[in-house]
Amino acid sequence: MALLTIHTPEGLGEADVLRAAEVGPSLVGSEASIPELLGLAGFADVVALDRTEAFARCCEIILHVRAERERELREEEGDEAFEEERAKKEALLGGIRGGLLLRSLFVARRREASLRA
Amino acid sequence: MSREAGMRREDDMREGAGSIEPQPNREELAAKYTRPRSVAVRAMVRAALGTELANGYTTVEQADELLSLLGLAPRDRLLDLGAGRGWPGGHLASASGCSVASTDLTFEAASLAHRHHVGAGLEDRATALAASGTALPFRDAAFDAVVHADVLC
Repeated sequence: MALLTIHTPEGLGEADVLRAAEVGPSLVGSEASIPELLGLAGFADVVALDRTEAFARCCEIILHVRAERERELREEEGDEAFEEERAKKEALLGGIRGGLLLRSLFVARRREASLRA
Repeated sequence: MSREAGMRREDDMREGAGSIEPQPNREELAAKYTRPRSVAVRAMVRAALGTELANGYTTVEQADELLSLLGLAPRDRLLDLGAGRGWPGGHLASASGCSVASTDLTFEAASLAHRHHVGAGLEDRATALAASGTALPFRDAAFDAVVHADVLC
């Protein structure tokens, strides 16, 4: 099993978890960590590889291209939706840069030896 | 494989282990995969992720990393959970020669994933299905590897 997901750092305070869920995907506020959830689902030997910097770069590129193509996107999405999407992406990037959100690649194995992943 | 044979509706699937709250809004998800991507959006996705076929935040480089970590080979069977447009499972199947089943919550996403698989010449070893991750229509141990990327994001 290999998965890429956005999550919160361990040990984040309750207020910061709520803030992370506001600026990022709402389901990042899970009380269990990704390795714990994988363990509950029958996976072991969990390895986590931090890919947060690439996530931030991706958001920066999206914001950059949205700015470059603002006229086209406003025509396509409408002004309100355009502003809303820009604000969401800026908040997401702020959450990443502010240490509220991480994105990691997790690799794990099924406990049964008959399956590789 | 025909388009009809390659896709099944979730209604046809067996019941699973229950549901996780909150449930995603299916109508919003379906609309996301029904609207064609504009030139501007395609340019944005290509710039950010490296290919217009991608969705979520998984870059081509990261998809290749998944390929390496899973060690996929031609006879392997891969499940791509929450595949959206068929990314990254289609890429992994193309690069490794493995077969892939791409699942997503809505029929619209599965339909788009299927079109992308056919476009990539994967019709003989790729399937796309509308199914919830909590009620997958597969027998136990049907796959050698599982991948998912930004499923709840």
